[in-house]
Amino acid sequence: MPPLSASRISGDLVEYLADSKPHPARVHSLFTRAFNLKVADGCLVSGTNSRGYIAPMGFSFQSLQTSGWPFSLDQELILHPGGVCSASGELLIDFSNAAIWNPSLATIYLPLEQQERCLHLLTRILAGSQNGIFTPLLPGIFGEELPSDLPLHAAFIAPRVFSFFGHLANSEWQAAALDSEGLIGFGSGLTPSADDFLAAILGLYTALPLDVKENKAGFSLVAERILELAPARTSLVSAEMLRHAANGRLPSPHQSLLAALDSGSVFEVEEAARAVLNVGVNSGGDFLFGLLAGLVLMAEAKMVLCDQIKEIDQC
Amino acid sequence: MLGALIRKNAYYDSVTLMLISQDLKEQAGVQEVLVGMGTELNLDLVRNLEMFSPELEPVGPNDMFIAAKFDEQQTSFQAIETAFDELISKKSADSNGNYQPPTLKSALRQLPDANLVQISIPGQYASAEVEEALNAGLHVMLFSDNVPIEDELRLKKKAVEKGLLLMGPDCGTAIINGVPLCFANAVKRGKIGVVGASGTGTQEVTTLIDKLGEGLSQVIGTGGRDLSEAVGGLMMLQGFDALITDPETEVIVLISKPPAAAVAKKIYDRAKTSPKPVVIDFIGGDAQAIREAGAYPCLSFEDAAAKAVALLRGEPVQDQDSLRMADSALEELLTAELGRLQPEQTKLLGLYTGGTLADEAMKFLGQKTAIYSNIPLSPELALENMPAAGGHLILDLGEDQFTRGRAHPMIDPLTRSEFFSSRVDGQTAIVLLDLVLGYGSHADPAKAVVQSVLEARARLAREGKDLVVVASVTGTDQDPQDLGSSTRTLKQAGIIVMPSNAQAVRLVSRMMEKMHSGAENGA
Repeated sequence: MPPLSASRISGDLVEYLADSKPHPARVHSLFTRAFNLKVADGCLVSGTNSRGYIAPMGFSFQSLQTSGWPFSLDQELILHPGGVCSASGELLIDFSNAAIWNPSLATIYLPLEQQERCLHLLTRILAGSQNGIFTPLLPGIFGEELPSDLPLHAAFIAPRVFSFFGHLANSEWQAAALDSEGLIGFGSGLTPSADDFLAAILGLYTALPLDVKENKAGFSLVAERILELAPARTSLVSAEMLRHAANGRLPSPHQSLLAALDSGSVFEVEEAARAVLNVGVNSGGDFLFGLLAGLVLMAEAKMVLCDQIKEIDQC
Repeated sequence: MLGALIRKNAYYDSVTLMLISQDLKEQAGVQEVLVGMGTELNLDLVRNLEMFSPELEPVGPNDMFIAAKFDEQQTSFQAIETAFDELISKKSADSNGNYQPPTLKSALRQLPDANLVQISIPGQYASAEVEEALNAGLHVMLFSDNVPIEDELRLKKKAVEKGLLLMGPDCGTAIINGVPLCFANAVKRGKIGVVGASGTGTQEVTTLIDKLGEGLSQVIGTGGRDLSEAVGGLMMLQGFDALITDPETEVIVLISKPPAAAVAKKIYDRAKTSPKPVVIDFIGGDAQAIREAGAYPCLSFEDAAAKAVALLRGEPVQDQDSLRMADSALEELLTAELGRLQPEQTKLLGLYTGGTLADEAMKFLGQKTAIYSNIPLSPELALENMPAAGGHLILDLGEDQFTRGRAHPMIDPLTRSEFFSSRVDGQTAIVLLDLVLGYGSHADPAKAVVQSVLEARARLAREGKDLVVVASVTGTDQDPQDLGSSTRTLKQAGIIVMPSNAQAVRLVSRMMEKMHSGAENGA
């Protein structure tokens, strides 16, 4: 069987493999359109053929197969700059033709009026979707009353979400860090809902420009606490997602959405938001909910970027 | 009774877990089921619901767990576990999270209840796919063009035999059960059904119906060649019949360029027996024949929308044959706009992205003056016959001659921008244009037009000249580009925005009359 040919590879994985040493890995998890390889230092490397999707420390390929991966669960493998090999040296996945994808978020500049447009648009999209365990909590981030008949998971997590949100809004960073403890790992799925929510907030704050550095310093307390707790309180796949988000790296659809927010194009935002909603059953919705919460916090804190700062930052 | 199990280091995608969770809850005797990763907080929820059992003690965040509350008279945890294992093996085999199937067959395995397929592949390969879809009992929307007409006829006959729709080839617009396909607008659902052989014409009518406060039941496209003698209007008739039998449809609108005579007769014959009112806009078709068929002929797309709405509401059906602007306001507008032009600026330039809208403009303006075009009303008015001294010109920028190697100008505004640069000159007085919003169209066509207008005006200003620009916007406030926002953008740049193409054309007609009479008086 010829090796699978990767079409894209993330820049951080290229960097990771750049020492040219063989990196032992083990097949950690297999799905219909993706798999995760756990390398010796505990990081996950993900491969997927889900069209348009690539994650940090990951690669994608265009083969349309949905099963019958060239390895089995727990199998020992070797990663090197040229691809993925079996323990006996047979090339299973070829990286040599892959284009490099940069997983890092660009700084986003959101003028106040654009923030409002994005808020309005994303709220409409999320409210109209069935995606997301947190979605029924949407009125709460606008200070409105929550429905009395909240679904089970939403009702359970609501007080914790809004305590966290309230502390962030008041720049009470220590309290928000403590609240995060009550969120990490909550929800069904491989990346639990609360982790998707937190990843959005982590990603958004990381992508914000200079004028919110003061807030960033405070927020870094929250981010550090999340990263400290995640390995023990959530799945490895999810802990890795949070680690990447805190370091300004998001999967391609999520990255595109943040870039679209900055583009000022309603069309692009809508298209990108719908692509995020297509990720998982609840994952996309919960990420969008987190992004909306972050945008509301930005609007309330008047985190408006002036042109001068933009110029400085671009220098 | 409570029960739980742990699967160490087990990972399933969220689609699988959700489907399984739902299926398990439907098992007899199962009161509640929680499936998830064994994180502390998920266990908190289990405790909160009083579903924690000792079996869950060793669970870790990388383990999957199932906790169930059930009636032991009706089931057992063993039965739930067995059901879980059966479901997991089944779902893993056919998970359809966001699967993009490579063939029609595999798509149908994923979505066995689907009854429509949209095909958009190079024309030379399209016929085989259409045939397969029709054989599988699916309606087809065929976006591809360059499908041989013999294939179109053969496949449409097959569709008719099977009672299916084959919308296309080269069908750009449809809305089926509220789902917009290809280039379509976000319109309200309602009771007016449309069968259209022209894409932008159909978009204009449907958006105007929306603006008038009514909605669409179904919008069925046929492809531009359907009403030719060769194809015989097979899909126009099939779509017509579908709307007659559709309980949601109360009024039917048919849109096309003038059909072949034999085809028109078939449609009129069908209209005679229609139990529902029928509005026919054949853009310059035989109004008397339409009336004799008991249907309502139209003067424009605007007129078609208004008549359909009036019929639906039981209101008098009147021709929309005038410019809807008070005389005083019109005079003020004409004086202000034309007063900025120099005497040598006398020419009209129409830059359309919608071919049928360009056609509508030419049909109206061409009654009074010669309009040259790349889609001329008569051969002598073809673009290549335009005198060196210039003339009035309306272009359909979506025609193949202008789009080779690039996207349609509804998607890529660069084509129109280039024509602004090359065609607007010291003789140009008025630019008439359309903006078509909706799914599939450019993200912000208004911005691109404004940029072109500003550049053209800056260029003309060096000669002490200005430009009048008249536009109409085909779209709704629910479209991704937002009608209101696009209109504001245009108006802020000094562009006159009219509520329909027909109104824009009527205004331009009045402008041209005034320019002409001014020139005569001046002479």
